[in-house]
Amino acid sequence: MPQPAGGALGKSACCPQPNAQADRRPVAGSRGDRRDRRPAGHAAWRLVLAQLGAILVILFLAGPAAADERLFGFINTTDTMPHGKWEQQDWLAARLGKARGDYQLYQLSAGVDYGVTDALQAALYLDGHYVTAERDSSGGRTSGPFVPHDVDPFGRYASAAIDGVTLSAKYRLTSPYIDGYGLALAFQPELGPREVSLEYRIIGQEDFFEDTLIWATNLAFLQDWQHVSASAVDIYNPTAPGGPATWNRESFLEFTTGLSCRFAENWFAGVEFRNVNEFAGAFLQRPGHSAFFLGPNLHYGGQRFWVTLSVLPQLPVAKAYSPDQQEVRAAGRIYGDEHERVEARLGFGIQF
Amino acid sequence: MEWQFLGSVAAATVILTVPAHATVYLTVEQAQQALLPGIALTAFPLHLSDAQKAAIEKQSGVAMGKSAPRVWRGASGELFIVDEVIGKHEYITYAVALGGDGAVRGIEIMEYRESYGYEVRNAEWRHQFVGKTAKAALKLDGDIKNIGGATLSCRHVTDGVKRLLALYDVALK
Repeated sequence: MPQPAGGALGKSACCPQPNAQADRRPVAGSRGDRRDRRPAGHAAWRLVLAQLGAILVILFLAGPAAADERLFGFINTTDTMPHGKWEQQDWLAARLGKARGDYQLYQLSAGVDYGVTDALQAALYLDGHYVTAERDSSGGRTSGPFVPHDVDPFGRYASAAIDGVTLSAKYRLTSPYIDGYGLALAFQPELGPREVSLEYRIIGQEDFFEDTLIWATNLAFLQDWQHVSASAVDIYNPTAPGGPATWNRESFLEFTTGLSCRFAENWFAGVEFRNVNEFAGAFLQRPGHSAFFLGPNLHYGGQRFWVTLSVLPQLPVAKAYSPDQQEVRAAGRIYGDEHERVEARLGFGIQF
Repeated sequence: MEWQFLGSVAAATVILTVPAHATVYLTVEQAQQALLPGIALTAFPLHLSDAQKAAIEKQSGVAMGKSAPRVWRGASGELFIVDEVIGKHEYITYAVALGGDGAVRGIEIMEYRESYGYEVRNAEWRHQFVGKTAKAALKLDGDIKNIGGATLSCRHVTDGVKRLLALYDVALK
């Protein structure tokens, strides 16, 4: 099961320049430049809401029922879909709040998981987003992931778009129910017209007390390529030259760990910890920042569907290693094109 | 703003959590007839002391939890026991019949409430338990073969049978 698009490792999703400063906008025409889509933004968002509403209705009517359930929002477990079984999964990721002003990014990933064998699971997802922002940078400018860099810096911006598709494969090497511990490997390419990423993930799981307390840990490495269009001038400094089209490269190391405990029939609750480390270059060449998140999760599993909610506020202990990242660090947290005050995920799964 | 969003999704989560419906495959009487046909069974009140529960857990390696086995006896020492184990989220209600020698005569899945793992009802899989006693290892992928895609249910039902065999050894022999 893929992580929601553009948010798997907190990657900037639209930031055309690694370590971009909050108020120094990159060249025009970058991935975030969606000014022409603005009039359609609210309509697209209404469509997303309608889809979500439909999902809720379907789930409600489907009644209780559950397999490769996601107990965590940001952490994978080693469970895979049974051979030949399908599951529809939909994830809404919300990234909310910057240093000031208003910033809201909602990323929806809708798709299916399929059990190729009992140990190998494949998935295909369609990714989209809705963003709205107003004067959210520490300097009071409208900016952030998916906000074009040539918008009115003092006005509100909103837009929605389809970003691409995510493929995913997860292979379970050992099962916590048979071998005492679970180990799985996952590979997840995300393909879009202006951004391509490859994620490699190692998943560990150990269960306690008849599988009513689950401890899961993931280590992920992600490579991200973002397209930057050619530009004649730097839009923030019209006397400076722009540059040719290129692909900016970033990479991330993410460590996540969490506990989920069954506290009532059908219900699990727990806590998740997440550490995201961003680097310039596709192979961890230059460290950019290290951000930390900690928060609760809640999971309900019925006979035919499950729901998971994880809410992870960013802890005020972030580290910035480069001058650019130091500029987007405020009150101990990393903002800019990287992270938000709170990052949450709501997931639905329904089995067929 | 973020709290408005989080409040909304929390409310939606609560609304979605409608109660589960069990699939009842066998009633107690039907399971008794399936496992011990023609044998008159009498309910046997079972009250386990803390020491007995601890002994069962130690012998089986499986926690008692909220397990409250219901026991019936036959004239020749046969035992019919109904118990529950957790599947993934819901309880699986199952029955085990033991002969007078404490060996498993058969098991039946009486109620199953989840969409996956119901393959534990498979007769061939259940037949693996026949003849097992408290001395058996009862280890999944050891002396009990697993069913792919139903691993969690197989594991928990196997643990449940192991617990009931320890119950026999500790309190019903």
